[in-house]
Amino acid sequence: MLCPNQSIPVHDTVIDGLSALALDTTITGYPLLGSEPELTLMASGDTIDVRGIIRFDSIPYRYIAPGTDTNRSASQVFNPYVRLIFDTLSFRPRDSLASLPTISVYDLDTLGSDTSVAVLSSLFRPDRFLGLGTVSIKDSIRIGLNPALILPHVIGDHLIRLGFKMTGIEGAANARASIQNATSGFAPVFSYRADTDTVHVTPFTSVPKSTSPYLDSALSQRLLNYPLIVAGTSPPVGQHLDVGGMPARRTFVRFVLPSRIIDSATVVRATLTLTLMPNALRGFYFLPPDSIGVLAEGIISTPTVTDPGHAAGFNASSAVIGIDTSYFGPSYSDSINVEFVDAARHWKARAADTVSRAIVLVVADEGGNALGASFYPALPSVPAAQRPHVHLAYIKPVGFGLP
Amino acid sequence: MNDAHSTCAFPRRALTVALILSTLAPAARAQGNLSTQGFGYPTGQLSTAVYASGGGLGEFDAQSALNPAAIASVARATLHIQYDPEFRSVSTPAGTDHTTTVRFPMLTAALPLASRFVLGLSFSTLLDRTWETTQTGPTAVGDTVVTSTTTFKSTGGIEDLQLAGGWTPLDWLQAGLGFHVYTGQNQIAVGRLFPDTTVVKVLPFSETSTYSYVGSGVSIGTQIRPSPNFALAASMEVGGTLRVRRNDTLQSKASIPPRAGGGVRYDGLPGVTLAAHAEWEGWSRMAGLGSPGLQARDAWDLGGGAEIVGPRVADRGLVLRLGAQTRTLPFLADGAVVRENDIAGGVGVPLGGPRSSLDLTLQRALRSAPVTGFSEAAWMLSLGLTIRP
Repeated sequence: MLCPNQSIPVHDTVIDGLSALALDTTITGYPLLGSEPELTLMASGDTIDVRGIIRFDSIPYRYIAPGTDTNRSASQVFNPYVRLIFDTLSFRPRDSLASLPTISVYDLDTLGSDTSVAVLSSLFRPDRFLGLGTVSIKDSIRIGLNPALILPHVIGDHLIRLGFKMTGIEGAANARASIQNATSGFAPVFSYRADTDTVHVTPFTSVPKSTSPYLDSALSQRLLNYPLIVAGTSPPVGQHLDVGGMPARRTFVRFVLPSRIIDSATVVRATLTLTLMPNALRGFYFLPPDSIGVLAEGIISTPTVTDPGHAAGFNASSAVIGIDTSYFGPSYSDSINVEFVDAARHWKARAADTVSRAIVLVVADEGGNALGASFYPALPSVPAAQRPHVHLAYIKPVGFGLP
Repeated sequence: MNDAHSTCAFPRRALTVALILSTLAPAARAQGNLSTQGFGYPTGQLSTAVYASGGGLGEFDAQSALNPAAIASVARATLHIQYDPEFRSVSTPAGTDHTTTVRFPMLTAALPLASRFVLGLSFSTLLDRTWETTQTGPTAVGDTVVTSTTTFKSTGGIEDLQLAGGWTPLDWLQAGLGFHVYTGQNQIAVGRLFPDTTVVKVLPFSETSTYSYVGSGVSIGTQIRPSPNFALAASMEVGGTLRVRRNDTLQSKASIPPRAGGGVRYDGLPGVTLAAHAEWEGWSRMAGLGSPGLQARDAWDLGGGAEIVGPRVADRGLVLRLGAQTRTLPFLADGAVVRENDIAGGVGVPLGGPRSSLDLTLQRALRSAPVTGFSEAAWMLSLGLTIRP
């Protein structure tokens, strides 16, 4: 044998969460209202009720009537409708036509509160019902609206604010669908005709626009479309680590890992194993089965930012620290392996007092993804087998050089 | 690397072949070769033409870097460069692998400063440590077994920069003095790749380091021609301390290996030159440069050959060369001395009259050591271009 000592062994070690984690906690408040990647509608009996609101403020209403050269205001409304484009992969259930859900549309225009769940949810009532559409396997639907209820807005405040609610054809709804939002490039469209002359008068079409609250332009812009979470999928905050759900949760984890591994060796795989609490999957459909993607984003703040909520705001872009993705769901085991090797590599050669050795667990499509789960935290009261633990696979310096 | 047994040497090669072979027998293959053990393969510091004569004319050759007295025979400014690829087959119990190593081992320049004094500068490879090994196999990473590929790679070597002066005090006597600076680097790269990240995400491991060498030496030589048909030459070199550093840190130091050699040349046959040489090199002085287990042995090099004025083609006279050589290599393989035997043949073609010439040499080298099942054979091509503007 000419080269028996040429090997690069991979070592590994498992560290219990009580030793490996300095802090693990759930943080709330994500994402900002109106910045969700999709507008998700969801209903499941009385337990889950997530609705959506789309604003078409300042709709056009002046047109030139046939046979005249006078620009006039619309006084009638013909054929009003709203067109929605779906993320077709989001349909649940979608296995048979019989179970296809419907979407009911309501007039949500009101004075005063823009975001109050109590106020806005109360407006989903029969006298404001505008129309109904069946969610199809096709990627878009067109829902006809009641002209009589649209007309007052056309001739009045020019505000069309539509509320969408998942409903069932028979009995309570049990479905989920996501609408492409106003900034996706496939924006919802509201349209109506001001005249029955379809040859000389083209229909008005509008894309979402928001004009209130007047004194907060940033919020006003976000409220082009936003969810109305009447009954969400997130449990009360407690002694558990939550990710996902609506409203969305994140899990913040700060590590205390051996310097001899993180700094002196090269980590090739880093895994944080979290064990699901009983009945902790929320919003999941079993047929077709859902799976949830969990992103482990590295934190780039210094340890002086001690508040997890603030530190989690310093999550690195994927260009700085590659984002590791893990998946789990009902068809997976009762634990999830969160891979965070990219973050662990980032910590090498960076002193522990210059960068927080922490990650934040975020679900994919946060805010547009109703799926959520809860895991056991690293507490002495939690049995060791169910506590989080960290598995590190690493390679020590080889030191190969001189013969 | 803690001992010479662990020196695994595989020249830069067609990696695909290695990967395929190592995939077929991932556990059994601890691949290596015989010639680039330790600090590398001694190229001999000879010109293309001298390789073809079995090294016999090395002590008389101005384009070789052995005898500083030889440059005294240069009549006009001369520049020589050569390209030496080696195509090697290494046979082990697990199979045979083929490798290619590319070298540019020699660059010399000589400039006559006076009628009896010539100044020369040469840059030659003393030891070439260029090789690469690759192994592929399953590896446990945490709770998952994935395929990984380990690579060990070394490039570079120790170079000899010589400034020499050749003097012809008498028509039958030449003498020379050379000053040597030894320099060069080894770039070492170690890596472990995990190409399939679909099962679990595993990042690759890599470690690189650069070792720099520096040392100095001095050489003297002479050529004596007691008769028009007969010449003798001898040279020797002694060196100071050879140091190796990693970045700014001194890793170790040892002595430049001393060298002594002699040659004889006979021109008594019309159109034929016969030559032979013997050389001793004290490689054991380098042992302290590496790890404690490095095993280096002094080496003898014996060779000889003939240079024949061949037929004229397109009004140009060709030179045909033939030779053979035997020597031991400085660094042991698995505790055994490696012997290299080779035969060589070549041709020299004048280009544009005396202004330039092109030399081509093909060597067949067989290397062996009493290591069960290991052998090595190589075709070594050398292409040298000499210009006399």
